[in-house]
Amino acid sequence: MSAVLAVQNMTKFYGKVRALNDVSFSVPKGSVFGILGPNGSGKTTLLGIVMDILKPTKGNFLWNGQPGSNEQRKQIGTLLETPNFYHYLSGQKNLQIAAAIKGRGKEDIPKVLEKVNLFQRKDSKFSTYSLGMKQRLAIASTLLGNPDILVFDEPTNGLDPAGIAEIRQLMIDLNRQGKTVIMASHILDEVEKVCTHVAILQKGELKTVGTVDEVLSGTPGDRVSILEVELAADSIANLESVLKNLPGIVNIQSDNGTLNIQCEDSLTTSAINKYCFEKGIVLSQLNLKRKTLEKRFLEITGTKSEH
Amino acid sequence: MFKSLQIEWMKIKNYRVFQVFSVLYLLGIIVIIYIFYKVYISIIGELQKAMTGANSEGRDILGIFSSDYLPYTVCFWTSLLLYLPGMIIINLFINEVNFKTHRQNIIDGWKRETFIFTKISLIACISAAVMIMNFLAMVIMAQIVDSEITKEAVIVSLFSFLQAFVYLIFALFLATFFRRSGIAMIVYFIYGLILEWVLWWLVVKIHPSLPHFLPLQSSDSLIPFTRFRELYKDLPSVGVSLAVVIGYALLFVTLAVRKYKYDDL
Repeated sequence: MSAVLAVQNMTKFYGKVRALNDVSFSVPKGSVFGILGPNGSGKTTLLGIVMDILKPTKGNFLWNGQPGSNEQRKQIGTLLETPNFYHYLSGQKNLQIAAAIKGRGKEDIPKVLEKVNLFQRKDSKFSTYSLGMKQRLAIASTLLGNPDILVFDEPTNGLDPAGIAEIRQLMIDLNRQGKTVIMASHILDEVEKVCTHVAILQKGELKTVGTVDEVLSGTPGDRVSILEVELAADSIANLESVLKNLPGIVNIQSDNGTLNIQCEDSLTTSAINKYCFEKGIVLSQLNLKRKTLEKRFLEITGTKSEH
Repeated sequence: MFKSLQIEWMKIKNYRVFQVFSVLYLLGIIVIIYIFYKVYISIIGELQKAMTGANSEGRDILGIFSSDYLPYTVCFWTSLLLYLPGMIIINLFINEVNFKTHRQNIIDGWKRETFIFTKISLIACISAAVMIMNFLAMVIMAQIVDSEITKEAVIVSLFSFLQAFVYLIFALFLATFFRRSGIAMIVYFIYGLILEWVLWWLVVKIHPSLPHFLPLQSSDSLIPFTRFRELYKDLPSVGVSLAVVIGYALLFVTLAVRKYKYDDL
């Protein structure tokens, strides 16, 4: 798969503060690529650099194999950080300005306003919009000219639950149309539900990158991946004492009549079952728990917020 | 550039502050010179009456509205209003920073240079409007005082274009540098109304011509109150003044463009 965006050795300092440190990754064409990280991890800085509003200290980037240019940005729909519009103009007039800068006609404007349910308020001043409406207008602006690449920074900010679901569905629909979506978010559930690929940033460092499944399973980059398995038997105490001697077990926790164990991925469920049976214990329950992105994220970044 | 100016016009034509300030300023050009004329005629009439008992009957006995001096008199007085469009320029630029539309325009596909050169083109357009209004004010005053419009009026009008351009490009430079409306405006006023006079006082001791080489004063010196040229005996030649003014204009353009092109937005 060819790379829509290739970020190479990107480093950014704000004075003495290092916001990005030697970050490199590629965004495959046709993917929904999530850039995930706690507040202050460098997500917006990274997107700001590839959209030319911030200057990198070191490193470069390529859009479709070419150095970034304004002509390429015209072909990309971007919502960066907050909706940026002229407060004294109506939603429609703001979109006319965006369309004119992109070199597009006005014909797309009613269509994109309909898509984000803002058509009825098109003549209202931007300053009278609610936070959610402002966000919708920004998303409408990204859709002008039907671009093949979309960049969203925290796209569901300020939206109500129905709005969040609509925007997530919109992103999935856009991806089904063959468009590449790059999305920065600190909402793990959002990334897990929408994205095909994910890069995790922390304090400006790229911690991992790959498909969502790869990241969840611990590859690439990790030497040892940890699995979680839930077990039960007639005697939990006996089961626990037996499992303590099984090589590869990392942690055992008792939880309301079941045992939750963490073990190395070399240990399969069938191997656990066989071992217990050989030790005279018949398991009444054996579930391999699918790791959520949230757990994986916390494993990689730690549990504390950076702000 | 015409296309980006059209987009700029889309941005500002419905902005109430721009509408009100522009109308106030453009009308102010006519109003200030007419008020000066009425006050001047009135004072001269009173003085003459007190000294000789004769009634001047509203005559321009000093000749500052005669054909030769009318353009200078008009542009000298109207230049006092140049801080108003300077405030408009600062306000328009800082609005973009506050609304973050200066970033969005780049994200949507403008080059950074396009954004800043569009602002500079807007300044050129406003300066041209100032020039036209100054010429119009000369024509109106010539009708009122029964004077004539000479070739000098056209030349002085062109000088007023340069003077307005330097005042406004200086305002834009301050706006790009400070990025906060209040601070940029305060610095603009403090520099123009206080600091440059302090600098005048300091540099005049080094050489009497030096004050005419200060950024804003150099453009003022293009249009002195020439009826009283003896007050300006250290005035550089028009050629030198023109070179200095164009030099400052280029310097502020370069500084504003560099600041916008290479800084984080």
